[in-house]
Amino acid sequence: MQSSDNTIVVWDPFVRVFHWSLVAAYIVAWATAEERLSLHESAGYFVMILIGLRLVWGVIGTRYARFSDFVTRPTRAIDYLKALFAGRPRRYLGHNPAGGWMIVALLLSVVLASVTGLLMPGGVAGGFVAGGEVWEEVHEGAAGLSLLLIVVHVSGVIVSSLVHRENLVRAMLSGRKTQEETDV
Amino acid sequence: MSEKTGMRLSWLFVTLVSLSAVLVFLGGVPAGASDDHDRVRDHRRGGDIVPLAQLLNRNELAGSRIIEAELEDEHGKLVYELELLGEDGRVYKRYFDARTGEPSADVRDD
Repeated sequence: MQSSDNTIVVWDPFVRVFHWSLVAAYIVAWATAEERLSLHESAGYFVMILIGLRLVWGVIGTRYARFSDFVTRPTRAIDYLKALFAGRPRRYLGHNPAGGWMIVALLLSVVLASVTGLLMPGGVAGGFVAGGEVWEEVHEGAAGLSLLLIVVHVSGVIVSSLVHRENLVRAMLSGRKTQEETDV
Repeated sequence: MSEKTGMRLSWLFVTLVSLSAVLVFLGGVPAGASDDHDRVRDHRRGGDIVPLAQLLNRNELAGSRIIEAELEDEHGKLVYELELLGEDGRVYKRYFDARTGEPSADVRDD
């Protein structure tokens, strides 16, 4: 969707709504982590629905939303990071190769956190599976891991924004990015 | 898939997100069900209260029939309120501290 100011829609509406809904659900989940009651569980269910839809969208969705667009060979992510630290990375309109793997890691850690939340004591399936407290440990571990990944993710967004002199947070709100001839 | 179709489908997915948010956050309690049992269940899981069954074995309840059992929050103190039909045919209430399962003397029915 080319417009007069040379920007195109990279992130379609669902990708943007998914992203910020996940952020909101994640904050709610942390804020209610010590409560055994509904809001924390609701946030968990919502996260699972969000990710379910995102997985479907990753197969049938728009160009930059597809896994095939941003899940690349790990060596490409490493090459990208080398170029980044050398200060001359290529600019990708969609996710860069390292960012793509970050999306995969974030999705997996959040899926792990939400599913183990169901299995742990107090979870809806907690009484029906073996393991008990172990699931609670994994649940908390996965939540901690996702927080760590988010810190790295946001750092990557800041670094990329600085290197390419663009506001990637605004792009995730408007969906639009400026297209340049040297883009990948 | 054309760009137009992609955007339409994307908005459809946005609608699905909105619907599930409403369903999950507002529709959490099935119609007709109260959240009382959730509250009791959560207190039980958290180990805040003793099981009701533990009270029913108490000697002072021998011979009485339980008509109604409630878990009440009396100014932050969790109390089991039992309505009993005594051997004398009278209905009366008994209160137990839900944390300990011991009779609670300081709670009186209004």
